[in-house]
Amino acid sequence: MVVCTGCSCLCDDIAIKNGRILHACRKGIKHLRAEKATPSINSNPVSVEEALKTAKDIVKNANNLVIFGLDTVPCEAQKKAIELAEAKKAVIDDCSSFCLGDFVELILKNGLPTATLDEVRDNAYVIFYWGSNPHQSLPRHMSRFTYYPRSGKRQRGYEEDRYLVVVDVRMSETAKLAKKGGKFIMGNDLDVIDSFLKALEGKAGKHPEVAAIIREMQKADFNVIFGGLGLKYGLKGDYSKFIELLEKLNEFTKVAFIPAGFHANMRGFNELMFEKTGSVNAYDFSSGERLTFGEAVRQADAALVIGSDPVKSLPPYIATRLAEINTVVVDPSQSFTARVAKVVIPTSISGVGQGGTMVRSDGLTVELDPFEEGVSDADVIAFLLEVV
Amino acid sequence: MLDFGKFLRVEARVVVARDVLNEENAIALVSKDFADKIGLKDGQTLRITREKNSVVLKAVISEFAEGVDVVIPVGFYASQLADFNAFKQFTASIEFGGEVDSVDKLVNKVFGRVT
Repeated sequence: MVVCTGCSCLCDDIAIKNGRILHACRKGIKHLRAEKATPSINSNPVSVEEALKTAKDIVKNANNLVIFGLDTVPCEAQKKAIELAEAKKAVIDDCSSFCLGDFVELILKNGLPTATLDEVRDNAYVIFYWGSNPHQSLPRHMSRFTYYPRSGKRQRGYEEDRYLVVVDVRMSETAKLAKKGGKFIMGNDLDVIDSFLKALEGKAGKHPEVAAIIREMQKADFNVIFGGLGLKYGLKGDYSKFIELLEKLNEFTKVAFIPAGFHANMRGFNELMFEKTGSVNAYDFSSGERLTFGEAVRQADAALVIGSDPVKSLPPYIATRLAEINTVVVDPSQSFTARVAKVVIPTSISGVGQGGTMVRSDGLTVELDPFEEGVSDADVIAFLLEVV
Repeated sequence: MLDFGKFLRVEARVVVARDVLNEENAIALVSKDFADKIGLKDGQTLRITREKNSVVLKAVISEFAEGVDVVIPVGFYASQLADFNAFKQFTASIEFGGEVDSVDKLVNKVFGRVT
């Protein structure tokens, strides 16, 4: 069995038989079959050795290096990258600074009660997807861990033993499902939180239907809220009302929170950074202060992008800037960022050609068991570390 | 008959959302309400502009845009319009567009070259 590193579910039941990928979702298949990168300098194909040598020179000569990405590579590579950032007094950041890093930080600081996905599978009755659409972002989340499994105390599965709630600003595939057999609340996140807090005091808010959800939650001794990017941006950087809601709900029933919808090993990076710096991301080793990739790239003279594609997913000024400076891309696939990079170094897909460990969205450490020989990100970063 | 729709420019609430199968396609999901409001038919093209940036995408009228006006799949096209202050949701102006943008065309616009 192979662990799929296509998303933070880290599904460990993938089989590959005669070149066919079995059990993976469409996202996993796309990830495992991605077009492979070729080593290049200024878009011209070169040997891996030449690409590595040029990358080493770039890192050595950089006065203002920014390291970004790392959410799709194993913890062992992330550790090396943090080591490199510290030695070069560089800025290091990952997607979590604009993704779900704030929620992970709250969990690591015990600001939000949490649970494992296995506990959810065995016990959870009311399951919220708040600002998250697992149908697209985590396609097997509901079938492996939350809504569909018959497991533990929930042997009657979704027909009777699960109650699905979706909070979103629009109708999503998951919301459509909740509309049939649970509740779908379409609205502004702060209004929905306010309605819950009012309902807990016996008053009616903008969304009176939350009272029925609270009654369902009271039926069970374990409920869970999965929070996605929609919730993060809906809260506009102020998590106090959401924390208050969790505290109030936990006064009469158990409610855990798990972030949902990010890259395979974002949490691994967050935990390593938290341990090293006290912050889960966006850290400037020269000043000891918070600095995001989006800010740092404006002053950087070199960028090392590992296992990420900021040109595809971030605002266009980032792409323009990466094209202007010495950008090194270390990635298994031929990404958009590879198109603008000075140097491209291909590595293997995590779990396929390189092993190590990753941390699932709920904090569980997962061992990768690669089935072919390949170049690991940890080895590439270790090579670059030789310059310092 | 004259089609005045092509001169229309309206404000729309846009959401950026994951859509695994469409993240590389130049499409925008449009709610039926919004399509009716501006007289849009499935398959027509839309120019979506936010601040100085714009993309031309093919409109697909979809129930999954209900609640907002337009949903653009996470990916290169959406990134041309978003910024860190408006990463998932923003207001953009919409008008009937011309030819759908290709990735190469946008890359050329951003970097001044096709790689």
